[in-house]
Amino acid sequence: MGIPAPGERLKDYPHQLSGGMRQRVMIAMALACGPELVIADEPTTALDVTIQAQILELLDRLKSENGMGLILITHNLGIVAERAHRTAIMYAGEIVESAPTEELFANPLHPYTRGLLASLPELGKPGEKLATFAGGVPLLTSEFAGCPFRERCPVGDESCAHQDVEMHEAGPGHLVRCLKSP
Amino acid sequence: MTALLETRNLVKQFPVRGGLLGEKRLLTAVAGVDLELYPGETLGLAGESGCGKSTVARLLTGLTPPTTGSIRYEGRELSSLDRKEMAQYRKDVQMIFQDPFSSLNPRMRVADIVGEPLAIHRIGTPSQRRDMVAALLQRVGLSPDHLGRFPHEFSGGQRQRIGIARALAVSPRVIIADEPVSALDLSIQAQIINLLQDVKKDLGLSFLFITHDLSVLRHLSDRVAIMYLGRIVESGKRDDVLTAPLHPYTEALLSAIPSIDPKKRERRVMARGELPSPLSPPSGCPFHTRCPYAQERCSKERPELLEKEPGHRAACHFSERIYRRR
Repeated sequence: MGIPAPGERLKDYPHQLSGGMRQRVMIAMALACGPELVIADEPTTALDVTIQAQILELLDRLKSENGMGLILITHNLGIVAERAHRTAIMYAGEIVESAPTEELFANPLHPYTRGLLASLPELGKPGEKLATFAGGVPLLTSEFAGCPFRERCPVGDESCAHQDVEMHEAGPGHLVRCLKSP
Repeated sequence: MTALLETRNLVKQFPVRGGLLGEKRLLTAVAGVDLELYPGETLGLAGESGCGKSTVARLLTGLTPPTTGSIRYEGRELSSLDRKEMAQYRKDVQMIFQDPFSSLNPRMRVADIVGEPLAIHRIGTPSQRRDMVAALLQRVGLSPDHLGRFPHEFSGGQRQRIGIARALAVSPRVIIADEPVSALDLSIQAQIINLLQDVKKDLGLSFLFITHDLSVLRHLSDRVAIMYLGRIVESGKRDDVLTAPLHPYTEALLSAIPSIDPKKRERRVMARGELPSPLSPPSGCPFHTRCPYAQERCSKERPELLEKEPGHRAACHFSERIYRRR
């Protein structure tokens, strides 16, 4: 796991370890029984970027050594772009788009995915306005018909309110849940 | 151009108790920082947790006094200001905090939160203050209907707008913003970044923007300074530092950012190991324990922050040799 002097660390309590070391211990626990699939929920969100890079390298290495699958849950689109083979974008409890990662970033189809990418400072010109969405995420406690994104959607209209939207295949392996997308 | 706000060899140490016997030790959070903030510019200050950037913010706002070193405002030493001048300084230099939850008093209504700085500095009559607060809310994209509400009735993004309105209330000249968008969701973050850009331009403010997120740093800053273990290791114009860094720590930080641009991914200079404890900082260059280029000299002799190219400073013995590419 890349924990220095592991013999001495065995008797330590978690509070004696740094955030990066604790995350390495968590990964060791997850791998102890030789799993086929590991689900990592925001595994680096609490870490600084130089430590984050180390943990992601470690996960990648273990994945290729042990041949296990990894579901990596994150809000960081940069991590997704660098580490994932396939990507699924979620909004309000539904997967709204999924595709091979390169395809998804090169050719985003769902208006939510497009909006997310446009709001990244990395892609904007320094000092220029970033794209934003109107409004906020709908309350998941209320019942609603139709597309949950329609209130904030730049291309949605009346037709989006009346029917539940199914995923359809827009290209090879590229699924999208939007009436307005090709 | 003369600096509006300037620090020289700024040091802040905190006494801490540690070890088995609870002996007193000194934690050096800020270990000799030189910064200049020029009128109308945004200076971005970046670094990872524990590097001392928030302590710099607290020193500059006068929330805590420096152990040694100087802070100058318009050329005048802060410690030499009398009571009245210090009150003016506290009015001129306002702060926006990271956490939109703990930085607003949950028992105060929005009207009182935003109006409090006006009351403290005795600006206007109570009824004038009410009008000013309503105008401020409008300025930051909230409605006057929100005046009577409590902070818990707002989302994180809206609370950060309240914090921005409070900072703008007394017409400051300098805003010190400590990670103002780090606690926010991506799409909300973009809204707050746009708002900060707008108020800066409209009101002609100078900004010290503290962040650990280099893509936000690049978006907002005119000049940037990179901090590591209480020191500035590199500073200069945004594009000079972020596209052609002269310090290995900056290079490691930049290459650690996950990027959605495949071109940026030719990898990769990794910083080894972890941040050393500021209670016992390494000898010589503070970064040498993690630096991929470290030589013997680096563990013995601490490099000064020197101008390596016009307006571009770095604290590294070997920057000329490592970055000969240009």
